[in-house]
Amino acid sequence: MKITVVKKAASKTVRAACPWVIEDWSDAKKK
Amino acid sequence: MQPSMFNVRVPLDAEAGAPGDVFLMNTFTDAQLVVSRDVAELLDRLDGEATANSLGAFDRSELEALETLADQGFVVADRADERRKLEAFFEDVREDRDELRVTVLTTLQCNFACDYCIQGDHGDYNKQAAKMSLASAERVARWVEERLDTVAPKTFVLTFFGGEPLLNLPVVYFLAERLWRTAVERGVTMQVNVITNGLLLTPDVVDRLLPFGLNFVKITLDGDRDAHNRMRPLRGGQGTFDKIIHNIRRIAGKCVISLGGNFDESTLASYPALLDFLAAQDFAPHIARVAFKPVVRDVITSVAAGLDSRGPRGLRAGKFIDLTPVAEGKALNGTCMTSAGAGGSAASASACDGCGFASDGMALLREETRKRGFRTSDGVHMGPCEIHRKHAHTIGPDGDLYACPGFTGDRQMATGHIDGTATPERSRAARRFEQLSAWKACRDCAFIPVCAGGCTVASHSELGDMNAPSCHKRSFEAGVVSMARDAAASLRIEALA
Repeated sequence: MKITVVKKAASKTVRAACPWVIEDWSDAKKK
Repeated sequence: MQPSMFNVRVPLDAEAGAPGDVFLMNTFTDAQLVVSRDVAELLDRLDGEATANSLGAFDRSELEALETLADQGFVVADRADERRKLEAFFEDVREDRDELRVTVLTTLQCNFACDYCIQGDHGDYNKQAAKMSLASAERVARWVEERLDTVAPKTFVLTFFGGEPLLNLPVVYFLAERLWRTAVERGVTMQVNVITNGLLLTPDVVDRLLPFGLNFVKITLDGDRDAHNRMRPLRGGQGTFDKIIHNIRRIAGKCVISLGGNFDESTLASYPALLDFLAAQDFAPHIARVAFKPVVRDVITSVAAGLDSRGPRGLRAGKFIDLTPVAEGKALNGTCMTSAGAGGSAASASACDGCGFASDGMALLREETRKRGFRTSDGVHMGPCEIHRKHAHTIGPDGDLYACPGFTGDRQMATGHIDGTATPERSRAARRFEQLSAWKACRDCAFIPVCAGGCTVASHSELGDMNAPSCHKRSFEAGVVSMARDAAASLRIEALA
């Protein structure tokens, strides 16, 4: 019975504004 | 107690470095686990047994595993409770006030003459296409200020779109500067996004917008140099690839750059060459994201031009790739794994065999993009899009309000106007968008929380029913497989460290 948590449950996750046109790059960082 | 309907799983193999293990994701809680096979089998047992009163059937280690699975959302009380939570989730998305999102179409004019798009520099289109005046922009600013006071969001996201938004720089600058001051006065964080073809995107434009919250620019490249020049030429047929690349090089490092592209049957094969080209450029490290999508027929552009988007298919068919909506009478090709479909076995693919090209193309290009070291969409976190949010608006050049850019120009779909005038048509349209719930037809599909029934524009234009789902389940499934590989790889790296 092995369980490794890769990502914990989150109450709010990043959602795309519009996956076709606009998208949500709110987590994108300037490089 | 039973498994969540939003669990998805991918068996890991030796190639993933975890033979026998299983990747589990819950699309509702976003939790991701790698578990041994007996844990996955435990979930199956839960599925097959009436276990609410029979926890005695499990030994101690199984009960501990079930507790962890429940903490992460993989085990729920019962289906009715989970459906109530899903309803509450969509209500929360709809009413969320953390962000006010406004997309402004500064003009419907365009300096490109893309063959797949009827907007732009074809015939006398640009002479007739609407362009926002500074007087209208002033009214837009006042409307946004009123919304900021009413909604009181933490973040205000202003996106410039078109047409080609940079053909109306005075309005872009006016709105960015005016609303930046407004946001600062109210203690609201402001982000400005620009979606552009890149031809007019000079360092001057970027420098001018940077002090006013410029967050990212999104530029479109439709394949490698030859493919792009064929797909996205100027009116005289001149190519635009070199000029756009020149502009990207000049703005690199100043702001977040994301690249998009629209592929069809004739250009899909050229995208790996585009990615090779981009990876070899000096500005490659400055590209924040790359994401490609299929050409969505002429749906968005036809409504933008005010055409009847539900006209005879024959007029619009041909070179465009259809999204494949799902509706009654269209039995998901008999291959659906969910109860929404006409049946078929669990072993038989997905709901969207009919749109295999688009879904497979997206999945293929995501992999190709990642191979070159660029960040891209994971193919899973695709929604609910902003059409499901009350405080997300699109404003056309004339001040009409829309629920999403895809409906702009089809005035029957306007939900209001920035001057506040209500007409029966607008009120009716607004009510229709408020009641959007295409996902309800998806029944027990595990991807509902990250899809919400798909693109409403496609459903409206192809089925004449915005409340029918349009399905790309196959692309979601491919995305989960990639996430599983990544998860296994990250655990391997952790184990080595």
